[in-house]
Amino acid sequence: MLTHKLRRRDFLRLTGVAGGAALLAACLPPAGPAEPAGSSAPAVALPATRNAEELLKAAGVPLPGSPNHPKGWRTLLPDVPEGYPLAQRITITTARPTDSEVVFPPGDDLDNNVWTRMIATLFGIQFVNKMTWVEGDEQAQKYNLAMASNDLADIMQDVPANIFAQMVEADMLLELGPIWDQYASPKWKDAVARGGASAWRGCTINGKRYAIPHAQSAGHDDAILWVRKDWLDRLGLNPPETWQDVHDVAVAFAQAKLGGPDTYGLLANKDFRKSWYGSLDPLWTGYGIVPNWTSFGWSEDANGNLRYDGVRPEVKEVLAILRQWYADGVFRKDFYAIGPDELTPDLASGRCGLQFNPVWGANRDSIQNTGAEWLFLDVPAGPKGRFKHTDDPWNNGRFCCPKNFQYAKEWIEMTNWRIELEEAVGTRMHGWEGIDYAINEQGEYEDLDPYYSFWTVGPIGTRTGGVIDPHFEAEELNHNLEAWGRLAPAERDAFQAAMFGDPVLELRNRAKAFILQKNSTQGVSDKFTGLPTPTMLSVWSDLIDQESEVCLSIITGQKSMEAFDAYVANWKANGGEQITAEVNEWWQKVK
Amino acid sequence: MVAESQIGRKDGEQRWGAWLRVPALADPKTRAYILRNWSLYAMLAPTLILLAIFAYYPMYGVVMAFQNYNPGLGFVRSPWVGLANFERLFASPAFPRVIGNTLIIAVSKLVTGQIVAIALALLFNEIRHVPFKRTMQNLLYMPHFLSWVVLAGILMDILSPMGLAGKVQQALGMEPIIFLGSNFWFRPVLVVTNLWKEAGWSMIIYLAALLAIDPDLYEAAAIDGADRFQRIRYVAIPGIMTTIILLACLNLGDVLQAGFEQVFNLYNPTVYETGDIIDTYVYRMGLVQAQFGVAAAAGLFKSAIGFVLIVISYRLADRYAGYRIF
Repeated sequence: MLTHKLRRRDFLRLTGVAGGAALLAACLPPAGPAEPAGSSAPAVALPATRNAEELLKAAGVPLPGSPNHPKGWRTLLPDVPEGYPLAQRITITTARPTDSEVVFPPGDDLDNNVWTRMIATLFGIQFVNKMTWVEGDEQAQKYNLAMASNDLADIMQDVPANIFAQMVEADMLLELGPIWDQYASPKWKDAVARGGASAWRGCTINGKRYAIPHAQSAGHDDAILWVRKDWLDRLGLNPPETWQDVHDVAVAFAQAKLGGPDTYGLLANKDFRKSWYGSLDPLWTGYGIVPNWTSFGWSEDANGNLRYDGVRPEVKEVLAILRQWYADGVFRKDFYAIGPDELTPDLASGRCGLQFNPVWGANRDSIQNTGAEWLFLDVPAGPKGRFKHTDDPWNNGRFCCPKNFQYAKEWIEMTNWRIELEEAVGTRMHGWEGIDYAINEQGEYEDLDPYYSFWTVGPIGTRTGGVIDPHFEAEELNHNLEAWGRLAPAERDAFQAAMFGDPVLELRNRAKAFILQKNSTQGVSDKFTGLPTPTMLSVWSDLIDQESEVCLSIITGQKSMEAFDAYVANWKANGGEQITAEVNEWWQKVK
Repeated sequence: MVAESQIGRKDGEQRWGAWLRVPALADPKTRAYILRNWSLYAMLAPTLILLAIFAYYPMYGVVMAFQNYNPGLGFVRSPWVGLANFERLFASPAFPRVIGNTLIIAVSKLVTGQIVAIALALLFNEIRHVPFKRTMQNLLYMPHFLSWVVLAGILMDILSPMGLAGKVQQALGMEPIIFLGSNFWFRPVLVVTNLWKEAGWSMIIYLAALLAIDPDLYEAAAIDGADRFQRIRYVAIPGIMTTIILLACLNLGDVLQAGFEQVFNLYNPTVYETGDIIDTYVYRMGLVQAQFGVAAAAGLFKSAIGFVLIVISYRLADRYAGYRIF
C-alpha cells in the first residue's frame, strides 16, 4: 500500500499540481523573488509586534499575495503566537518527501527558500532537511538506515507503519500525545476529534500516542468515470449509465478504431482492484466487494465481524464480467502485464476512450490531450448500489519525533499558526507572486513552472500531500465556487477569474466538487487499518501473490472460473482463517 | 596470489602446510622470503583489505537469518528466533516452485549463453575484414552495459501487442502473442533477451582463447587439405576446449543466479508460475513487507547451496581442465 500511495503522490507532482493549484483553490506555495532577507537578520532586532506582516516587512522578507496589483489580492497572515519569534533561533531537522523536478530560483534550495525564510523570520525556527525521498522504496530504505544508525531527524513525516512499530519497540520515539494535548490549538484538536477513533489508530501503540496523525484530504483518490465526449458524438452514442453501457461503449470505441489501430475501451492495468491510475474499483464496490491498493479490503458482516472480501463469492461474479470484457476487447490486450505508470502514453496518444480516475489523474494527459474532449460521469451502479473505493483519510501517515527532541512545543505551535493560514477559508494563501504564479499583462493569473509549494518544501505537508483537516478542501472549494461565483466577472481578481474562466480549470473544478460531494455517501474503505498481524507477516504476501495470479489469469482466460474456488479453499487452509481471527481480535479492540 | 603460488611451487606441499600454520612464520626462511618480496605483498594488500571490508565484514549480517531483526535494535539486541525464519521459508507453498523456476531459468541461460558465445566466437574468428569484425564485436557487446531497468522498458514496448512484435505478427496475419503475460513464452523471452544482452560479452573470452592458438596449426591443417569447417572442427574447437570446460565448470556456481533485475523488471502476477524466482520472491516477501529475517534466511540458503556448487565446480575444473588456485 505504501508504494502505491507514494507513487500516486509522485504522479500527482509530475502531472497535476502546476495546473491544479488554481483548481484546488490554493496550493499554498512559498516563493517570492530570490532575496537574502530574513535568514541573516537576528530575530531579536525585530520590532516587538506579533503582527506577521509587520515582522516580515521589517525583515525585508517578501509577503505572499499581490496586494499592490489591481487584479491582485491580499493574503491574511494570522498573528504569530506569544513568545515568537524566539529570541534564540533554533534548528529543527526534518525527514520528508520531495520532488525530483522541483526547481528553485537561483540561490534558493530546499533548506533556504521563501517559505523557510518566512518561518525563520516569524518564529525563529530554521528547518533543515536531514533526509528526503522521492518514492516509496527509497522512503522505507532511508528510514531503515536512519533507524539502524540511530540518526533520526527531529520531525519524521510518514514513517511507514511497520518501521514505526519497530522504532517504538526499540524505544526510539518521543511520546508526542501528551505534548500535543497541551499545545495544539482548539482548531487542530477539533479536526482530529471529528476523525473519531480512526484518527489515532495508526499513531498509538500499547495505548501510547507516539505520533501525530497526518491526514489526507477526503476523496483525494476517489475515481469517477471519464468519457471521450467527442468519440461518443462521432458514433452517436449516449453517455454510459450502467455497467452494460460501459461495456458497450468501450467495445464500440475499440471497434470503430477512433484512436488508431490500437484503440481500446477502458483504461486498466495489473492493479486490477484499486489503482491510482485507470482503476476498476467502482465495479468491485458496486458488487459489494471492497477493493484496496494491493489486496482486497476487509468489510463488516451482519454480525459486526470483519471478513476478507477477496474470498467472497461476489468476487467470482465480477471476475466473470471482467473475463467477458477482456474477451470482448474492452481492455488493452496486455493490460495485466503493465503497471499504472505505463499508461500515460495511451492517453497522450488518444488510444483509450474511458477511464476511472480522480481529477488529478485525468489532468494533463486526458483533458488537455489535443483534440480530446472529456466528460465526467458518476460511477455506474452495481447490484449493491453506486459505490467506489475511498481511503480512510486518517489512514494516511504520521509524524513522529526521536526521544530526545526538545522542540515539540515550538513545532506544534508553529503548526497551529500554519493551520490558521492554510486551512482557513478566506485567508487567500495562494503563494508568492513571481515564484508560484504571475499576473500577466492582461491581468490574468498564470501558474508558474518552476513551482514549489508547501507540501514540497514545508516540514508538515498540507493539501495534496496531506492535511490537518480532511474536510477543509471541500469546504474551501464549495465556499469559493459559491462566493466567488456570485461576483460579477469584472469584480473577480486574477485568481478568482482563473477559477471560472478557463474551460479546463472549470471542468476540473466541477469534477472535484462533484467527487467531494459524493465522497461521504459513495466511498467505502478497507476496515482493517492496523499493523500486520503475526500470521499476516508470515503468509500474507504469499496469499496476495496467489490472489493476483488467480484473478488476472481468470480475467485473461488463462485459467477457468473454477480456479477461484480452489484458491479460496487454499486461502482458508493456509492461514486465511487464522488471519481472519487475528484481524477480528484487533477489530474488537478498536471498533 | 602470485607470491603464494610461488611459495607453493618452490617449496612444495610441505611449505604450504607450514604457511597455513601461523607459528610457522617463525621459520626464518619464510620470513626472509616475505621480506624479500615485500612489494608484492604490499600490492596485494589493498585487494585483501577491500575484500575484508566489503565481502567478509558484511557476512556478520547473516545473524539476521536467526533473528526477528529490528533495525532500531540492531544485531545485538534483536530477539533471537532460532530457525523460525527458515521454517517459514520452507513451509511456504510457493517455495518449491520458485526453486524450480530459478534452476530452470538459470540453467537455460547458462547453457544457451555458453553455446551461443562459442558459436559467435568461432564465427568472428573467421572474419578476415578487421574493421567489420571490430564494429560488429562492439555492437554485439554494447547491450551488456545497459541496465535491465532500461532494457525492460524497451522490451515491454517492443513485445507488447501494440509494439513492434505485435505489428509484425499482425502483418503476418497472426493473433499477437502477449509474450510477457504467457506462461509458455515468459521463460523463452528471458533466455533470448539475456542472450541478446550478454552473448557478445561472454564471446570475448573465447575469442581471446582462439587468438592464442598457434597459427602454424591452421597452416599445417590447410596444407594437409582441411577446408575451413574442418579447420574449425579439428583445430579451433580442440584448441579452446580447455577454456570451454573450465568456464562450464565455473558457471556451475551460478545455477541459482537466475537474474533478479531481469525478471523483476519484466514479470507480472500471471507469470509467477513460470517466472517467479528465489530473488523476486524474497524481494516481495522480505523487503516489501520488511521481513528482514526471512529475506536473510533465503539469502543464506542460496549462499549455502552456491558454496557447495562452487566447491564442486572447482573440483571439476581441476579434474577436467587442470585449473586450480590452491
